[in-house]
Amino acid sequence: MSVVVSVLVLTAFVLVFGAGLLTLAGFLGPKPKYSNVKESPYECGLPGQESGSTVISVRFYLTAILFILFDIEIIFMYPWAISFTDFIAKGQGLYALSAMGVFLFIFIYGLIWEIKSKALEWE
Amino acid sequence: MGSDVFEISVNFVKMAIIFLMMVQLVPVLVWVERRGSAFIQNRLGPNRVGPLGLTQLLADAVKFIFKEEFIPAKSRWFLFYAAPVLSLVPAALAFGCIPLSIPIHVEAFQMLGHSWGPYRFAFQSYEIGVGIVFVLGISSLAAYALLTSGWASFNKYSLLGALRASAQMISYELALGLAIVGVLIIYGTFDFREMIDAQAGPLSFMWLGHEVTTNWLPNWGIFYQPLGAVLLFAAMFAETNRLPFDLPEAEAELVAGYHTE
Repeated sequence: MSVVVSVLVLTAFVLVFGAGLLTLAGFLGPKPKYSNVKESPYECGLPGQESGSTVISVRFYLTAILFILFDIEIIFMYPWAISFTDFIAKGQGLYALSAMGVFLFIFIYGLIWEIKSKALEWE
Repeated sequence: MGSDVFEISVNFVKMAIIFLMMVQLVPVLVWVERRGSAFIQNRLGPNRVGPLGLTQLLADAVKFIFKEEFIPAKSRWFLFYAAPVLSLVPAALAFGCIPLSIPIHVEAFQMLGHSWGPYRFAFQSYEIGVGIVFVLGISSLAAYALLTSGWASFNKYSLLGALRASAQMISYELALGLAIVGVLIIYGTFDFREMIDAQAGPLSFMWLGHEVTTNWLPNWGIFYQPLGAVLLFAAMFAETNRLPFDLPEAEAELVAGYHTE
């Protein structure tokens, strides 16, 4: 509980610090003189062609979701890694290793299946 | 936070000092990087302001404060301001749970007519039992700040750069996570404090049945897991979008990525 309070307090402190720096810059810096050209989004120098929110391919998000899934599967290795030395001390090291081997086999088999089903290809 | 007023206030001050210390580190590290890359490339680097150019970054910081604060017309102005502030938070929170020294024990003492009990102050902002998992989780929040900054500035270079940066952060977290597994196996704990305690003393290991102790090497985890250390450093460079992995800021294509505006 106290750790949560500490983290929240530090977050608030950092936010106030950053906002303070920004407002300080706003007070001390010269006032911006706005004009049409200056306000337009930065492009290559010609009059702006395209709006800032371009369409992003859905495949990008699909690939990102696959990466997130792998990330979560990696997190499952952590409790195993923590207790691995305990397993060795009890003489069950081979059992723990083979259990993780089965898990990793499924993990890598999933990756191969993804490649085979062309989920990672970008046309 | 603490049990009484004294402990709570000390913890507050400690938090603020550790955060400000981290902010102070930034100019020094930038100086090391600029100067170091200059020596590697047979240049001089910043050497005008102060001894060896050490105060160059201080001058830069003052200059940045006196710069004009400007919002592009179509940008979402609140998020445009919020993004740099948000990007501070994960860094500060992750740095906060790294222990910088051994804890300080304060004996019980009398002050203002009260007796203040014995205290133990850890040299970190807060002690978290699952430190490594906390750092991993918090540091992946940085992707939100990048995406916010790219999306809020309403510029296609920024948006593409932010998308690349977030994709890179997501993908290299895999390598980061896998590199840490070896450390977890060796030390059997998530806690930074216990890990650091386990690294005290000279390096000693079992070699062909006898215990070998070297007096000239410390008992650091990098000697047990050199491959993990190399992977971790590479993944860290990629996570922070530093130079070999600077795809999000590819200057030829994206101007400056998510910080164009």
